[in-house]
This record gives sequence, structure tokens and C-alpha cells, in this order.
Amino acid sequence: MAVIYTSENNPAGLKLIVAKNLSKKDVTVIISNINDKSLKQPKHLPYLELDNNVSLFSTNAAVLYLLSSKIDDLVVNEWLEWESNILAPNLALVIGSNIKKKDVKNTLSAALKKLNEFLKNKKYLCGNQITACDISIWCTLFPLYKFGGSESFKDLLINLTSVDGWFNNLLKESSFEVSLKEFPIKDCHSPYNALLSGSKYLVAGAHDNAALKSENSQEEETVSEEDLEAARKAFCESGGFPKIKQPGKTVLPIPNEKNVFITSALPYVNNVPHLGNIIGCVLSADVFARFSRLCNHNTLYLCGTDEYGTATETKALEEKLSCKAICDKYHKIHKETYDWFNISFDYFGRTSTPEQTELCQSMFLKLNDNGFMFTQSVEQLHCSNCDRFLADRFVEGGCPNIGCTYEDARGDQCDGCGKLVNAVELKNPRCKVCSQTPKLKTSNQFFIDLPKLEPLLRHWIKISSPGWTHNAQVIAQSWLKEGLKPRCITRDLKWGVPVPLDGFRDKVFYVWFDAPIGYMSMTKAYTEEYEKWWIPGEKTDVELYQFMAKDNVPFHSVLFPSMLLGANKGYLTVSHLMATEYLNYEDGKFSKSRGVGVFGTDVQNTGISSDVWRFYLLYVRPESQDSSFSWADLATKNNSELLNNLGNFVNRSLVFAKNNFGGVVPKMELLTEDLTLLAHCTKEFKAYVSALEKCKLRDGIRHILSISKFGNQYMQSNQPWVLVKGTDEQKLRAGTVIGLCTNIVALLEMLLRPYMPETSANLKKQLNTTDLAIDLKEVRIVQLTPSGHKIGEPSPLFAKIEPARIEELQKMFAGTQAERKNGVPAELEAEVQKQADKVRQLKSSGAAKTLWAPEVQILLDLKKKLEECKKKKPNDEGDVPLSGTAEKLEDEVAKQGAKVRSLKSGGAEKSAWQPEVSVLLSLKKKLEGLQKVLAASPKSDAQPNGKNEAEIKRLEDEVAKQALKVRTLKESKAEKSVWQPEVELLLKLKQQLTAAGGAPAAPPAKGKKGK
Amino acid sequence: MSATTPFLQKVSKLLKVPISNIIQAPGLVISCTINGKTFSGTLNIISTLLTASKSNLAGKDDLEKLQIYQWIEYAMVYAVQCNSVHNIQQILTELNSVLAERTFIASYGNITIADVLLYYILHGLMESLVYLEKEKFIHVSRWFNNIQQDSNIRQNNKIIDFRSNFLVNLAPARHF
Repeated sequence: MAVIYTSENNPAGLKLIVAKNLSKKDVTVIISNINDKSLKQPKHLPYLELDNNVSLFSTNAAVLYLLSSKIDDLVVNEWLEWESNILAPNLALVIGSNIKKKDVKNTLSAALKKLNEFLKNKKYLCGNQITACDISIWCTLFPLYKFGGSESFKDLLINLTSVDGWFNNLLKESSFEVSLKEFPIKDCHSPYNALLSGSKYLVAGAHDNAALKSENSQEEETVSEEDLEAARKAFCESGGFPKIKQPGKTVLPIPNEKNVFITSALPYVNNVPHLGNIIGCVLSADVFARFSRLCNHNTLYLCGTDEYGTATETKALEEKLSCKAICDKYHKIHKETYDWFNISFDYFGRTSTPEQTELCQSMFLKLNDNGFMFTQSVEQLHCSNCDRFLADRFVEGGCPNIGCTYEDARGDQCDGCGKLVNAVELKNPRCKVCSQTPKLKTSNQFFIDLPKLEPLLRHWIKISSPGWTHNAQVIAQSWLKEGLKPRCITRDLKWGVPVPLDGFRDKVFYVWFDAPIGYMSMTKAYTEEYEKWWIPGEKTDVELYQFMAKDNVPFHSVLFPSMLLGANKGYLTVSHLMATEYLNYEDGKFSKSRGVGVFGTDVQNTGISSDVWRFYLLYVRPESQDSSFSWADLATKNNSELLNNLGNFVNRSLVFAKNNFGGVVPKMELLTEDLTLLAHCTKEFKAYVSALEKCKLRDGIRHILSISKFGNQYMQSNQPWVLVKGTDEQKLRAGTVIGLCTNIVALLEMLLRPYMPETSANLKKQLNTTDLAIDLKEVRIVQLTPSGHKIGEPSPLFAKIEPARIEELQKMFAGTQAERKNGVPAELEAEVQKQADKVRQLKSSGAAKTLWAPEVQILLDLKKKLEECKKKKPNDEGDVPLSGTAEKLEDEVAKQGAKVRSLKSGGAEKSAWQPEVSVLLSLKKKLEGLQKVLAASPKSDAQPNGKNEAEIKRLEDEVAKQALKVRTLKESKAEKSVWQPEVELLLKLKQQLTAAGGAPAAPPAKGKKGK
Repeated sequence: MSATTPFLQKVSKLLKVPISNIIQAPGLVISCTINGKTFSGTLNIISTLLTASKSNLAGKDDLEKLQIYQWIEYAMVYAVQCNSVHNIQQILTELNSVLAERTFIASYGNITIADVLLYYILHGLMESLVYLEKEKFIHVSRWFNNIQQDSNIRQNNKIIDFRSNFLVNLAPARHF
């Protein structure tokens, strides 16, 4: 039996009651409340619950069901939709709530007029009986018709004579009368309110947007009198900004000052960092560190490479170098890349240092003393030949999974069937290094007892996490939600920090245990007084900011804090965990292992300055969701934002001051218009500061750009180039405009400092100003270049990036890293040419050395590359003989094979090696095809030989003759014994012919068929 | 032109029955021309298209048809308003709760036109969600991912990524 659930006094509920009474169905009615938790999803009221677990919350669908109507009457459907989409939501919103919108009322009155037209001379809406749409519309209109509400709603009903007639007619129907008694509707306002809360109608989003917009535009367009007065006071009466403090040789925390300690996630040493890595940690941290210094905070920024672990050992095997040598090599690459990006580390260290060993061991011993460690035996394969336990990926053997016969399965996963493998279950396991059979041995390992530390950690997260980014909070919570488990922290490896306890001295700490301690050991390598940072003294407040991409959050939010808390020595813990999402490459993923994307070492060869790279990466910083890097967008942002907006304003202002005022900032007499500009810029300045304090680095850039946009508008509307030619008064006005503009430029120089250090330094030189700091207590615009200040030599800050150049870059970086190494000279030559032109142009335009010097370097590099390419080239050029191609292919197959093997053994993911495998297969196929061609060709080579040709001709003739003979014999119905020998002779001849290279004539079968 | 026009056009393209002159006069429901005749109301338009194309998206029996009716109404009254934070929250929460118990929105076993229409309407919204929100509305995500697999239905819509396996649990594996 069906059940109606409805709230009281709800016109939509009335619909169902009327339909029930009209159809005389036995249906229970339950009066309910919208807050009742047991309501069926999606928890709208009223709804009709049917026996088979179906509920209809669309009241019109429910009315159709109760009346047993088919949904096939076009007119009924149309009017039902009119009721549900237009009439009911709008009535509920206008009368049932406080939302007063004029256009809604207009819609309603238009809608009712249409209904009135349609009902002209009709008793019912459709045909000559009551249908679902009559019930539906009547019930929804009932409160308004019956009680009218306030005057303002009554005029909705004026001049609706046809509707009036129809309404009163239905009111007299018995089923309607009975229903109203059973389910009374009172008042006008409250039924629509019940309808609104029951149906949960949505207010059009446009309304929200409009509200938001008006707020924004208010912010943009209007500045109050107070703002103007404040701007005037700040600019005309207050002193300058404080000077930048020059920190001592080593930065140490100072009591009663703001001490900011910044780290960025330690990049793993086994590869070159790509743009995603750079924006995720070091670059973001750098901007914040520079901002923090700009505010005169006592700032320390540390980072370094993470060097221990299996991945390094694997890489060392791959490149046939020692682990130490690998680390040295890649540490240098990392360092150079970050230097190129102007990352302002106070110290860039590494984890393979004596300090690391010391601190890691003492942290371990402390945790062990405090009872947060235990040992447990773990079974592992041990190779007696190499005298070491084998990590999973160092063992190979037959796949233990049933049905898979793959022989080279790795200890963690089988590449044959793709299933996970338990290393100890491999058939005929062998050591990957020496191919000896390893034996199963148990070894004791240390575990950190995270469950024991969990209460401490929970308490700490509750206090600390409000300062974290949203994603960091969510990830940490999800770890706590699952419950913490003990984690093994030691490994039977060689490359790492040894465990300082007897019986364990041949083991090392697992990388995730030792890596975060790197932050401490690097501090120690930086200063012996490192404890001042890590165990801050009384009255010394240190705030730790850690920057990373989201994949590193668990280490920094759960594991490392657990260690610090467990050591119980009052260690500093992270108060600001700043995690980014991922940066994608042209809508795909950056991948180190596959070499897809743009890498730290590549960017230096693009000819785009590091400041533009910094700007763009920060502009698309993946703050709240993944974002993507795109070459086209990079060019657009450079050309529109940097060149046309920021660069244009700065250059126009300074050049104008130089040419018309001799490079001296003129006298300024501020009008309201000027104060308005100052007030606008002050607002942006404040927003910039508050964004950067919260590490919203993307927003910071946008505020800088709005300031220069205001500046451009201001200049455009005042037209100083016209004024300067006018009367004295107008000349004074031009002076004021330009004076104000140079001051705004000087402000921009400060604000750019964290983002674009080279540009900012260049600009400072052009302005001839000194380093000043932002005073956080009073964020306002003061005179940075007062009247009479002499500016330097202006020059353009940015260069245009041509679309053609971007296309080249796009092509250059289209494939994987490995593919790119084989640059095509033709392309290179064009590039060299272009670069040379660029350098010439830059030099002749009189740009600053900082601007063209990097371009020259690029040109030199390009030339070198071209040289190298040309040396190699002759071998590849010209028509290579087929066999040569085959050899080359063979070579390539071998190379690709090796690559695939090393990838697989290197433990890369399937996604990483799969494409390589397909490359290998296609290469093999090509080779096979080529070999076939080659194998066939000697014969075809022999064919044109004259001697052979004659021989073939002779044989062909004989075959034809013999065949004729056989056919005649057979046709004469001679005995088989007679023609048999002749047939054999024919076959022999044919064989000879084939051997000689000719095609046999008509097949013998034809003769038989012909019979 | 009305806000729902592009969604109706997508449905018409899917069912290979052309529609034209989509208009919405003030105070009236949307109407359009199909094969020279004028139809008013989303439901009438869609069912005409379904009949003309002999599609199997129309629902098996009367009860299924009623549910399709109900969800088309929902799509037009609620889902099309996914343009403010509050509205999005309500729509996704409601759909998530309903889809927790069913594979398709209007039928327990069959994909229907209601699924398709909602897919078109929600595509822009789903595309804008970050992965944590996709996780939060996991049933909507699962349903949506299911629907978008059909390339006929998808047409030129972008496939939206619902993978979540890079979530935190795998993070420690990075160093081994």
C-alpha cells in the first residue's frame, strides 16, 4: 500500500490528497517534518512511497501515479511542467520567503496571464474531465486565491477572469472539498513557506553571483572619503618605509621577534627536477622566504637533496657509478638548476653528511629509550655471494602466480601477468646483480610504534593543523581515520645511516625515517647553534613553514611529527604545512621516469629568462586544484600581463620622466583623482600582503598586476603627453601625474621582489632607489621617490615571446627527454639564427646587460650544440644501403631492449615501461620486415643475369612441350603406366625451372581439372 | 534561447532527431520544433525525440517512466541551477544520497534518458570539482564515470578523470 508523507499546510501535499480522494485509492497519509531524519532520499516533502521501494518526490509524478494516468497527454504534460518549473518555485520563493525579486514577480504575472488565455471558455484544462494538471495547478494556486496575502500579491490575480471561473468551479468539486477538510490549508504566506522548505527550491545562482559582483565592484570602484584621507596622509605626511635589515652571517632566531623558518621538501637525488617539482616546493618556498625577508622577519630558508635509499642504489647500478658519485653528480645538477631559478636558500645541503648520521642515530636512540621502538623478525631473501639482503626489486625469478609462466618476474610484481608478487614465493629466485640463488633468511628489524604515539599526534594535529593548507589537513585526517600502524624503519641495505646498536650495525635506516631528519642535519651543517632553531628558547617564537607537493604530506604531517613528539625534547613542529596540488604538462602528467615535460635543465635552454619562468609558474601555481602548464599560455601571459600591462606602465612612466623632466621626479600637488589612484593601490597593496601572509602566492601576483592596471588607466585618462605641452598649470599637472607614477613604479619594484628578483633588481637600478622593507603594522603607500629624486636610465623590462618561438618550443619538448637529445640540425640552425638576431636587436636597443647577457649565453650554447650535431651528422646522411639500415635497426632494437630491461628492473611502474615496450615491439617488427626483404633480394639480384635468363627460357619451353605431351596422352585415354613417367618428367622440369628462378607455367592440377 | 538549450541539443544529437527553434517565452515552458511540429515542455520534447528515434532510453514500464518524468523535472528545476556554492552542495548531496542505493538515477537496472540528461547538465560542474570533492560525492562520481564511458552519449564532452589511487595511502611507497 502506498503512503503519502507530507508536511502540514503544504499545497503540494494537498495535491496528493486530492488525487487520492479523486481516484478513491486506499492510501495512508503521514504528516511529517522536513527535519525528520527517516525521510526517504533526497528528503523532499511531500513524497509518495510505493511498495517496491520506489518513492516519488515529484508531486506531479505522484499525482499521475495516483490517478493511474499514462504520461502521454501532451497538454497535461505541458501544464504540469509549467506548474512544476515556473509556477510553484516562483510562488514559493516570492511569497514563502524574504527573497524579493522584481523579475520573479513579472515572470509570475506573465505566467498567470498565459494560463488565463488558455482557460478561456474551458471548464477544465484538458478535455472535459479533471486531469492531473488541474489538480496540480489548482492546489498550488489555492493559498494565493483563497487568502490573497498582502496587497502586493493581490495584483497578480487582477484580470484573470477565466482562471477565476475555473478555480471556483473546481472548489465545488466534492473531492476537492473533502480534501480541504482532511488537509486544511491556512493563510497565504505559511503554505508557500512550507512548500519552499519541503521542496528545497534553489535560488537562481545568478542572484548569488550578482551579490558577489556588486561586492567586488564596490571594492573596485568606490573608495570612501576616509580611504582618500588616509592615502593622502600616508603619502604626504608620513616618513618612508623601514630599511631592509641586513642579516648577520648566520641567521639565528632572535627573542621577541618574528622568526620564520622555511623548508621545502627535500628533492630526491636520483633525477633532474621538473617544473612540477620546482613550483611545488622550492619556488613556492622561495617566494615566501623573500616576502618574509621583505617584511624584515628573521628568516631562514633551508633545503637540500635527499640521497639515501634503494632508488639511489638502483640508479648507481644503472649508471655504473658508486652511490656517492651518483649523489655528487645529481646534487650538483639540482644545485645548478635552483641557482638558475634564483632560489634564495640560506643553505642547500644534503643528507649524506656526518651531521645526518649523528642526528639520525641520536633521534633513533632517543625514541628507543622512550619506548617507541620495538623489533620484529622479517623474512627476506639474502644473497650470500653479494653478502646482502635483497630488496624486492633486486630479486628475479619465475612468476609464482598460477597460469603465468613468466621467468623474469620481479620481487614485487610480475611484468608478465602484472600481478603483485611476494618476493619469497618466486620460483628459482636469483639475485639481480650476480644471478646466484638467494636463500631465505630472517632478519630483525626495528619498527616505530606509531599506535603508541597516536594520542600525542592527534592532540598535536588538532592544535597545529588550522594553519595548514586544506589538502594537507584532509590528508592528515585520512591517515588518522584509518588508524596508525607500526612502521618498519630499518633495512638491510648498505647506502644509508647505519643503526647504532649491536646486532643491527649492518642495517641502515629506511629513507623516510632519515629524510626528514635531514632538515635538522642541514641546519646543523649550516650552524653549530642549530638547536636554537629546533629547540627554541624561552620568549623565542619560531614558526616553521614547510612547502611540498601533496604526495609528501604524510611524511610531514604524521611521520616526522610523531618522531619529534616521541623524542620529547621540545622540538619545533610545523605550524604551516603548505601543500600544493599537481602541475600537469599540457594536460598530461609530468613524469620523471618517462621524461615527459620540461625539466630544470631544459628551461635554461629555452631562451626565456628565469624571472619569466618564475612568474608563469607562480601564476599557474596549483593551489587549490591541479593546474596545467602550457606553452601557449606562457607566451600569452608574458605578452599580455608582463609586457603590455606591467612592463608598459613601468617603461612609459620612467621614459616620460627621463625625457620631459630630465630624470628628476617633479613636484606633485595631489588632486582627488590622484588620491583615488593611491587609495585603489593601497587596497591592492593590503590585499597583496594578506595574500602572501597566507601563502596565497597566485593571488599576490594578481594584485601586483591590478596595481599596474590602475596605473595604466590613470595615465591614459590624464594624458601627460598632452599636458606637458600646455600651460604652466598643465605642466605642473603633468608633473604630478608622472611623479605619482614613478612612486607607483617604486612600489611595484618592492612587490615584485619575491616573485621576480632579477627584474626587481633591474628596476631598482632604473629607479635609483634603495632596498626598503614593508611595514606590516601600517600597510600604506608613502613617497618612495619624492620630488627631486633622480632616477636612473630606463630600459624595457620584458621581451615579447613570438608565437613562432613557442611553436618551436612546443615541438622541441613534445616527446620524451630521451627523444629530444637527437636534435635536428636544420631546426638547430634556425634556432641559432633566431637567437643571434635577438641578441643583436637587444644590444642595439640599448637594453641593460642583465637582459641580454643570458641571451648571449644561450646563443653560445646553441652554437656548441650545433657543432656537435654536425660532427655526428655525416654518418646518418645520404642514402644508406638497406643492409646498413638493418644493422642500424638491430642496434636500435638492442638499445631499446636494454632500456626496457633496465626500466623493468629499475622498478619503474608498468605505465612507465609499457610505452617503451611498444616501441621495442614496433622496432622488432620493422627489423623483421627489412630482413625478409634482404633475404629475398639476392635472388632478384641474380635474375637479370643474362645466362640465367636463357636457361629459364629453355626450361620454360621444355615444360610447355612436356605438358602438351602429357595432356595429349591423358586425353587419348592411354594407360596410366604410359603417361605416368611423362608426368614425372614434367614435374622434374618444373622443379628445375623454379630452381632457376622462373615461375612454373600452368600448374599440373589444371590439366586434371580440365579433364 | 534558454539555459537548457545546449542540453536539449545534445540529447537531440544523441538520438539523431534534429530539433530547431528552441524558445522559452516568459511565463511559459520551453518549446521547439521537431519534424515540422511544435512541442512544448522538456518532457514532451524528450519523449517525442525518444519515440522518433526508437531509443531504448525511454524506460521499460509505467513506473520507470514515472521516475524518468520525476528526474527530468529534477534536472530542469534543480540540476540546471548548479551555479552557486550553496546550490551545488545541495544538488550533489541529494544526488549522492539517491545514487548510493542505485546504479542509475531512474531505474534500478537500465540507463535511461534521465541519466543522460543529468550527465549533460552536470558535466561542467563535475569537471570543476577537485579530487577531494569527487571523493566526497563518491556515488555521483561513480555514476557519472559510468555514464561517460559511452562514447555516443559523451559526444564531444571531455572525459573526466575520477581516479583516486594517487590518494595518500600510496604516498609512502614513493621512497621504496
